[in-house]
Amino acid sequence: MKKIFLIILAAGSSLGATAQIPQPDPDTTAKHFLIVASIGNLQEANAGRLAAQKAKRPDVKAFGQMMIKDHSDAEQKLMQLAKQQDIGLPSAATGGIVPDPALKNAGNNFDQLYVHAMVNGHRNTVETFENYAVNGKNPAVKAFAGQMLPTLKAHLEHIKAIDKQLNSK
Amino acid sequence: MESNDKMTRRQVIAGLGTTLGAAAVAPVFAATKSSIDPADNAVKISDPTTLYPKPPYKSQPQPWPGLQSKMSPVPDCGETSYKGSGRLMGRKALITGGDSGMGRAAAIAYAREGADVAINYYPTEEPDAREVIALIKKEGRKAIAIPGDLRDEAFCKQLVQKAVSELGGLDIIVNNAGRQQSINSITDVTTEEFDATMKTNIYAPFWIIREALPHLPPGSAIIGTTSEQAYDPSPDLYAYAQTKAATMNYVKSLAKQLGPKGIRVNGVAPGPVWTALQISGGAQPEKQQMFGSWTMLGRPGQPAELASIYVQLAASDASFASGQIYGSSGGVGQP
Repeated sequence: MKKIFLIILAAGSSLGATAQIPQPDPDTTAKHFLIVASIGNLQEANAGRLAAQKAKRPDVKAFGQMMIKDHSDAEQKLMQLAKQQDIGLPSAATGGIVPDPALKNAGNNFDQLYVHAMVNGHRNTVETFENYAVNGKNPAVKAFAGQMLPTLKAHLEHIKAIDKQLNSK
Repeated sequence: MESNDKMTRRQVIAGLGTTLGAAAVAPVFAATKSSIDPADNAVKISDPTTLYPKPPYKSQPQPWPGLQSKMSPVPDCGETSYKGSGRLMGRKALITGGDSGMGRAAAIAYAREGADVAINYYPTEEPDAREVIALIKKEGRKAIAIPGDLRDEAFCKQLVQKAVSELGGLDIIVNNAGRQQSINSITDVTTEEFDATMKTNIYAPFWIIREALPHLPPGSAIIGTTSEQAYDPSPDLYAYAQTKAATMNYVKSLAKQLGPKGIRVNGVAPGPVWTALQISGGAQPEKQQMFGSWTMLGRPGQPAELASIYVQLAASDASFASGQIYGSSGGVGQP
């Protein structure tokens, strides 16, 4: 009994760091996941537009452009999926994104600010998608989450590499 | 005859007491055929998960410090709902950050509980502050507006002096104004930003309490707004979160220091509350849109939901509470 207790305790304590936006309960509806994912897409695309304009480093600029493309594509797929599954998404989650003033007003430190925001943002996004891909109940949405994951993970690795370069100069 | 007069006079003097006594006794006798149905005055309970709008919210960044009147939805500070019952009758309160958010909710509640209230706010928050002043005056209480920058020691001193002289005294201080800026990396926190956060959240309460102390009678209450961030900080709130830990700590040290003087010091630790702080740089864009979604109620708190805590900690019948931190965080977060 004691052994089992210790194993359970150890398992509990290994549930390491949590994402900045704590994750939805897997029992929560697919709708919540799609809302979070949609906001993520739109915010990434929006920030990417700023980066494409303002970034000084070519790799940051290029990353921004990739964000615009990849997340606009992802958003289209997501909206189709939502329609198919008859899941209505509130308008706050599907449009009207105002650019982040912190990035908009950034001067010489734009690249740094943007890269740091992207590292944290993508970490959160990967966790959100992993959570639904593993624990979600709606099979179509679960499949979508699983499909998007490799790209999202690649984004995360990419931006982490840029971050490392930024810091090592 | 004479003795009858004496009894009459005594009854008149104690009139209020006997009337109340009669009122307390009446229902027992009237139980079977009372025209006052107790159910008429029953308090309605409601499902907290459905009381207020849930995220997602519109993307709506505003430049610091932000106006709550421009938010969507506008935070509920109890304007139409808070009903007082004389718990703070005749008290005199100074509230920093009283133009919006929890400071506003406290100001409205205090006025409705019978207190005179002075509110401090940053000058560009004047439109929000005007609304609060009007609401306080509507209760027939004194309402003093003292705009200014809390990061300045001289202003903090003037703030206290003005509050004391215009209120005619002071026995409640609510150090609530806060600066919160979400910054992903410590390498992006400038010295100016760090300094502004420390000055607003740690220095100002210090300067205010120090200046006010000679004026505070025994029985006074000091309240600091801390946060669940004091106990489990978010990675993007490095500067802000440590000031909330400092607030939680000064509440406890000052409670010990001022206890013998009969002055109680307590803190309020909110979880995510929907205020202008969050749309003026206090939260990352995605977090702002999904604000509060992670609580067990599926939404952030509204300032009105914390007003009664500020009242409770200020009220004289909370006479044994000192050095306490009262939380309100929708099922997640400490204390």
